[in-house]
Amino acid sequence: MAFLASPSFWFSVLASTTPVMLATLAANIVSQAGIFNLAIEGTMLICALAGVLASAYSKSLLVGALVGIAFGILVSFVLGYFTLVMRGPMNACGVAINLTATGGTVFVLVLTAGSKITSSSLVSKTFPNITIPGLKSIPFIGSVLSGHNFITYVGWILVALTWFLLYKTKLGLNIRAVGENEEAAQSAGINVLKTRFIALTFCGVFCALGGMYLSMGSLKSFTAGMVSGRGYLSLAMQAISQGNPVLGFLSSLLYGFSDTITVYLQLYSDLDLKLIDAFPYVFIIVVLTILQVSKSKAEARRAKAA
Amino acid sequence: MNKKKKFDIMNYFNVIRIVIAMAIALLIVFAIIFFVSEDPVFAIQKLMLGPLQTKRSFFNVIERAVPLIFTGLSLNIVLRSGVFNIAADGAFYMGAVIATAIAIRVPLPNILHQFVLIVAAAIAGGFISMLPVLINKYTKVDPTVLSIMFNSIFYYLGLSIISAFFLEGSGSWGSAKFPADAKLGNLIKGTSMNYGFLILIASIIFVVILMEKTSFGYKVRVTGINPAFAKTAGIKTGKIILGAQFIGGIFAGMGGAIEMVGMYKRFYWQSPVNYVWDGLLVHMLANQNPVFIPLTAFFIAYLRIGAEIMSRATDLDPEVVTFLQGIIILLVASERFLYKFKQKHEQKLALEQAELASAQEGGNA
Amino acid sequence: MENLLELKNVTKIYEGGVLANHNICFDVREGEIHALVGENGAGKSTLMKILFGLIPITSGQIFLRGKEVKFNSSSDAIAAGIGMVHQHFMLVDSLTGAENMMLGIKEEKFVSNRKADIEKTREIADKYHFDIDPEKRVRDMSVGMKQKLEILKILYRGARLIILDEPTAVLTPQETEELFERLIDLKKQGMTIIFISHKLNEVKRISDRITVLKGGKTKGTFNTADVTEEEISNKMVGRVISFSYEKKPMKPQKELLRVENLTFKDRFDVMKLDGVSFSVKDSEIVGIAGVEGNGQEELINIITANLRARSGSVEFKGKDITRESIGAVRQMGMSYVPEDRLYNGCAASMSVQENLMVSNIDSFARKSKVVDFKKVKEHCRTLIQEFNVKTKDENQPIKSLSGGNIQKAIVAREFCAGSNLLVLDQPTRGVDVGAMNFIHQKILEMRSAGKGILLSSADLTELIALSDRILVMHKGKIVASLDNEPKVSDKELGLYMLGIKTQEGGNEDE
Repeated sequence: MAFLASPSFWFSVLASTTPVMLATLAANIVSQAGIFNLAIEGTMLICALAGVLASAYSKSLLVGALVGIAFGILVSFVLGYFTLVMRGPMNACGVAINLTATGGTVFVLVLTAGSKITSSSLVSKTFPNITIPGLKSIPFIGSVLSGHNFITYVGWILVALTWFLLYKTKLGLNIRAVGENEEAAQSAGINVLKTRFIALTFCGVFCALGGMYLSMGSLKSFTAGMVSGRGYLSLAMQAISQGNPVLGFLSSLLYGFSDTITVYLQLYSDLDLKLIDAFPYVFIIVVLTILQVSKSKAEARRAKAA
Repeated sequence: MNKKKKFDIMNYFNVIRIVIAMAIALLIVFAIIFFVSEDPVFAIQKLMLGPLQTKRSFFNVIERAVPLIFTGLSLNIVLRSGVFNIAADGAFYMGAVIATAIAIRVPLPNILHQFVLIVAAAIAGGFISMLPVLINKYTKVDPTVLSIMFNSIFYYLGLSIISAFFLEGSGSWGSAKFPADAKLGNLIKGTSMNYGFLILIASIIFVVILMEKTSFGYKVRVTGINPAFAKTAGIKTGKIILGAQFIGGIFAGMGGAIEMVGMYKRFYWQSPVNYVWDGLLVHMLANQNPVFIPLTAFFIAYLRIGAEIMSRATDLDPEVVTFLQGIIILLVASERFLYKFKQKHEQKLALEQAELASAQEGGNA
Repeated sequence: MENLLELKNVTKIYEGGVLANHNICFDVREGEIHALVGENGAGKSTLMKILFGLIPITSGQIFLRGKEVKFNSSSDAIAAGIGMVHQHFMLVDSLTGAENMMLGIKEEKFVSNRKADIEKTREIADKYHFDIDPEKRVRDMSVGMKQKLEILKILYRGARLIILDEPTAVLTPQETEELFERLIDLKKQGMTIIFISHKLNEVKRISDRITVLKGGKTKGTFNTADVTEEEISNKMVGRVISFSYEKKPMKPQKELLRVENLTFKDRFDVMKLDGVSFSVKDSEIVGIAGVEGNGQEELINIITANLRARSGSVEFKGKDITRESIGAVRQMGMSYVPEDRLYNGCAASMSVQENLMVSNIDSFARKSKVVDFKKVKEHCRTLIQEFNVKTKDENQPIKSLSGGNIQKAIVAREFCAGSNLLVLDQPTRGVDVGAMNFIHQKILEMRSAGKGILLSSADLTELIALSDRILVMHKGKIVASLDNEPKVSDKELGLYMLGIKTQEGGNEDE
């Protein structure tokens, strides 16, 4: 376990936190508006592919990024249309989008890259890694915090901005009001549907960034099913953080930690068990259970005292 | 007479909705094929008629329908309790793993061997299916999310069990071969139709009776439709929901075992099987009625096999079918799909009744 | 005075084909207090929701200052100067008073300024002499303060026409008095007010004109000065308001239910029940009266095991059932007709038959647990016939029946489950007169058959017509236990309900 003291371990923790952090941010902002978005997984997958293809065909990172974000918003709006306008159940509609995303990305991948597995035959653009001059020279901390991908830094800024948006602005107040008491918000003159679609827009952007981080940041190409459950995990993180973006960031660090440990354990031991891949899931479920049980116990104690 | 006819239309409203949703989804898929294929007519022909062209491929459809029926039955019980739990996938996979383990490691005589491995897989499936609901009680995390997480956990668990204890050294990845006394014998020569088929038919009948005819099935349905009412009426909704998860999981686990020892010589599922998504579609298309599950499972299996035949003959990937799945689920699940039609009908009826009532009132006064 | 608002042939049909408003016509003049009266289910609230753009209109026209308007959402209505105070407050509980005030205001800057919002809220409150605390979270406010906040909220949004949906239902007499003063104040400042109520004395006191609704239709508009309360109530119900039923004298033998010193605090730490004790014997009807929110709901829920008491005990047939499950209590012979038939009284999308068999499903199951549907069908047909449930057949989804028929079906199910004690919570709320009469007859039949009946109702005439004894609840206590022989007057009941009068030793000691 000596690797726990190495800066490269903690660097990896932050790196693998990034996509889940963005997904959790997406889950949190829509949950504040009263939407349960099971389709985050599929949205990220679609954006990951859309960004790669658009950047490969346009030879421009910017076009790739914009197309990826546009798809993120589009897919979120499809979910919004079917759940909010057509009144479909959120779970079933989310599942439908994820299904289509899983199969549809493979279908498109075969058409464009000629492979069922990866887009590596296409030359696509990637987001650069950024070295922060002053920060880098600080020992340990510098090598943990500097040199991350562009999207990682954007993500950190977005966490702060989203927190500000939700708790310090009029739009944030509207979003929270819509999520807590739809009828009250409506009778105060807030356009509930519009507010929810605004939240979905943010959600789409965050999903797109999370997806593109995977295919145009940490990896240089798209591979089938590369989101591999991060979208679902983000919904568990949302349950821990109760819609608060900062708490959401902290809880996604949990995932980053457990995921990186998994990688290191596989590297440093001769265990050939696939079982270790299940560790992040088990870890999250155990942490969640402990957190919630202790919370409800504390509540019970308080109730008794009162 | 006229009035009676009108009521009939509304009785079939759900069926009409499903058929129209399927038609729209098929049209969209055809449009996609037209857009991307060099010979779209040929591709569509293969997709729609391919399974009928040889006897072998037709039996392939039936074989493919079997696991879909099992997952469909499982979801029918689970989802109708009002919990969107799709742990049936993990249950199915673990069912197959447990069947493999017992088939290879536990020497038992023919018939008893199959019986033991199927029952073990079924019970395991039941417990797996209960997990998301149990954990949800403590964590308040959505059971759908939990069930998807558990599907991953059990996939990795099953995979590592096979890797660690049952791998056959030589050749491609896979377990040792099943002994003959653990396998389900063939029912029709020349195909892989086996005795599992009989268990399947018994399962269908069982679920139909359970859900439609017994007090347990009734309690599950009431709980799913209106839990507050079920509670007030004295139904122990927590227990009923857990029971539904368990019994639903049984059929998923059993399905995995039967699929494994019936269809294959050894375990070689190196990736998740994902039958649960097709099973979800089967359940939704059946309008929640288990009687129709064989029919809808056949339909989905037919499309799956058709897509595979198409992809072998053309440049298209069989995954095109997932567009169909997604669209059908979205449309069938949407309360407002074809809502205007229903609304108009209801309004007309309400006005008629009101006029009738006020005419009566006028007569009385 | 000019017509501010005019409605022409407004019709509303809800999903599932419920006709709530049928060709409604009436007008409101500028600067008047216009009362809209009608029984529960007459369509008042639906009509106001239409006016406020909360639900779409099915057909008909609305004219505001002579111009036809179509409101697609409440923001359209607000922009047109209409504001509404709902029966259930439309406030976001976790936000403060000031935040609720500023919610959805277009002129607000994008980044909120907490201090300025609080300041502005104070200013408005002072302007209209409303006393509220803008920094308090809504969930910590008293009911009266919440209502004042609601009214301020709509005034701040520039409302000139204010709709109040049963504003006094949740208020204490003092709060009601204060509200009326404020309303008259607002009228003087040129506001127009639509006041929805079914309390005729209040309507008579405060309004200029009255429009009566019945069964989704208008029964005319009258100058308040020209009509008496009796005349309005006749219009409202279309019959002489007092029921009179032949009640067989019965001799109660044994005690069925005994409630001892029950207390309950809700999650906001409000004492909802404060040492309630009483008992119900066989062959008697015990009525519970009280203004909504004085603990009746909690009391019923605790007796039927839907809620756990903080302390005290409930004994049924001599056995302590305070900690029993709902199923066990029902098994022992208690039936329960809940207040809200669509929430927990039935499964709306299931058939009439499936709704009728729920409480005794296990008695129809054979040993194999397979339900004997022949027996069920017979049982259902008998119930449908005996309780005069108007349905095409037993396979019809129950939601396609009218409210009265759904209620009759629920009553049929609960009355025929072979119980000894029937707990009835608002058994005739929002049903037509025919069904109401029918259900009353059945309740009396049950009494004659020796059942004990606990009847909680907001309809005082119903309570007086049926009960042998009436318990009056106020602020979680039983303030009076009145023998209903000779009949209690509703005026007297009212005094107890408002807490103006209390009986010495209100809780019975038997």
